[in-house]
Amino acid sequence: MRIGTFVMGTRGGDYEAMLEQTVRCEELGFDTVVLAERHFRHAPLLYPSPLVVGAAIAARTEHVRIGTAGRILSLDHPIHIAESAATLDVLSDGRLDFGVTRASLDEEAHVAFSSPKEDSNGRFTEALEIISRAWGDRPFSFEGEHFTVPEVSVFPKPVQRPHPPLYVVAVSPERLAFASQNGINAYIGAIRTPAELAETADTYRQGLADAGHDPAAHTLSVNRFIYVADSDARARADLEAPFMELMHERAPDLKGALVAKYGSVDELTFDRMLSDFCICGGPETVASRLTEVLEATDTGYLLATLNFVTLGHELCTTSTELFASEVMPALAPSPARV
Amino acid sequence: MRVGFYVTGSATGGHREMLDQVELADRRGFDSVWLRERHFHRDHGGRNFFSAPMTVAAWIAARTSRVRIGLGARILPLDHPLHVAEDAATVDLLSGGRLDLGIARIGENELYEGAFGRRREEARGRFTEALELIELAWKGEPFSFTGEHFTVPRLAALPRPAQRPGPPIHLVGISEQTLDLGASRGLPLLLAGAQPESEVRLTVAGYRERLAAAGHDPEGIATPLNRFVYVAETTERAHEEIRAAATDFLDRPASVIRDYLGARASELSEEFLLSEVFICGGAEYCAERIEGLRERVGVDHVLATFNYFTLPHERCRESMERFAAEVLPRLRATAHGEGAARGTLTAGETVATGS
Repeated sequence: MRIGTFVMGTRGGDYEAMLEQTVRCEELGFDTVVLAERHFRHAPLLYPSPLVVGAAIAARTEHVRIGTAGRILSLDHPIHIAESAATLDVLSDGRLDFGVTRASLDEEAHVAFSSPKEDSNGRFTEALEIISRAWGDRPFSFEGEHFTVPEVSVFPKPVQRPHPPLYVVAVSPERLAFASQNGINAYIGAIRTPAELAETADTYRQGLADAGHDPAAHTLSVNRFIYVADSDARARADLEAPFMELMHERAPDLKGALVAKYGSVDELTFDRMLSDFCICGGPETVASRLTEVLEATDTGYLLATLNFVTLGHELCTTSTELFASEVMPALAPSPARV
Repeated sequence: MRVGFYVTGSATGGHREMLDQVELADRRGFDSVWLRERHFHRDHGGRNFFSAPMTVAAWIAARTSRVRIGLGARILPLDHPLHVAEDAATVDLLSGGRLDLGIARIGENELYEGAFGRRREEARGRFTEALELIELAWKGEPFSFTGEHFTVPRLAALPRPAQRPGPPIHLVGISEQTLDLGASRGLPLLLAGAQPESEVRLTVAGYRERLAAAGHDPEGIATPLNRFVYVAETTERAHEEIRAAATDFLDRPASVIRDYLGARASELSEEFLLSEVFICGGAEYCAERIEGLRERVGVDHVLATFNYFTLPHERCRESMERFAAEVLPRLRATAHGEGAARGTLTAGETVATGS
């Protein structure tokens, strides 16, 4: 079982607290720390520059892998992204898991960077092609609809050859299909129910097989919101108000996605989230619910979101410690799949 | 005299050796370390390590505790200024407010514009608007911007940097328009390592005039000067050890030094390099040359480039160690003790050499 932690910020935690937390997560046995990319009002602790933050994490840690989930490929030039990601791979001695995403969840970033969201599909596909050629050994040129690159050799090259492990953030069916058709590892989503996750996992693996890729050789990572306290009652009391604040005040995109999923804002009760996708409770409850998710998806890679920007740094830290000491050992040690 | 370390690559060292030197600079009392931005370089066995300087700067921020971290410089027109502002704010926060952001209008050659889908003729316009946008973004408050090259809807660019109003911005460039832009805003000017001292003197004097004309007090605005520094046991030895690197420098047909010299390019010789470009000698000689920059060219901030792409790493490292042990204390002595007597310096030398 591989376990990653999604390094979102905490209430009251600054950048140094985040760095210390990643060091602690390495000590606690997490395999990966994963960063998202968000801009502007989402950015105070959601990292507009995840590869830059990744380099600081690389400097403080020794063996934990550093992931992005994901670097948005449509907002800046793919050569910048290739250079920065390769630099991080070099600085971390080959610890980068390069996760990419098509577009920002919000329109604002696309308007601000003058990269219309309707172009993001084309830009994403071309950018991924440019990045993988930039990491290759030979000079390359590229002629596309969105990017034209004269013959260049891009440096540095990543340490991991031929390139760092690639992941696609597969929120939409289109992105999931892209991942399976192209034989790329996938992150699947935080707000899907276990049944939906199981279906998504099947679709992904079937897609891989149909495209001639070996499903067993590809990683499917499942993301869950997780909060652990001494007891179920305590966990609920700690998380309810901060989680609702996160949804209503701090994460309009999350709220938008949930409204789309459940039909109306009135449906967005904390109980609904607890039953569908948010795993909150004492260690035993959390372990058994996670086991259910991991079995349903038959995956060996859990991505745990243990930080909430609306929940105090101390509580997030305690939850992370409890997760590592009480929950991790209870999760199946040897996955059927990766 | 303030002294920084300008990070480049040596003939045999990789990125790890460079990063070790950065940590050494932090421990041994350098004021700053500076990184440049360079793309598509086939040199140095493909070990080009400067294409994403903000990423390297974040590594340095997490590994050092004292030195300031400078970008010398980010090439603004290649990137969206909001990306630059975000990256810089991130490094500033990660370093506890130690970032200096140098900015340049153009890079080494036009391949940069070609590869990043920009046009050289737009570089100046993009540069000027980018500078404005970065400063607006760092306020952390909602703003909007409508320019010829960039249009930004009302938004707040977060996070805010640790320093207020933001990391100090330094300018790189010597064109008339660039100098005017810098002077109008009272920006510090970073001066290139390849520019001969006699030319530096003219640039500095001219920039000070422009600053004064724009209503800024030139005394308060730094002009950090990059210099190739090499320190050996004796000056004779230093000259001997640097000879091959100097020859290589002279033999390069499109040398940047020639660009700076223009019509005077015919004056180029090893002697010229040693007196005008390199600061190369024993510890005492180097300290005097650096200290003398204050009077000769009007500069009290030096960025020392110890690594020459044509010298083996061990040599570069020895020279840097010697500089830290024997030259820095001399420069500190004059910086702190006003009118420090030569006798004091000699005593400092003994202590430093013996340690």
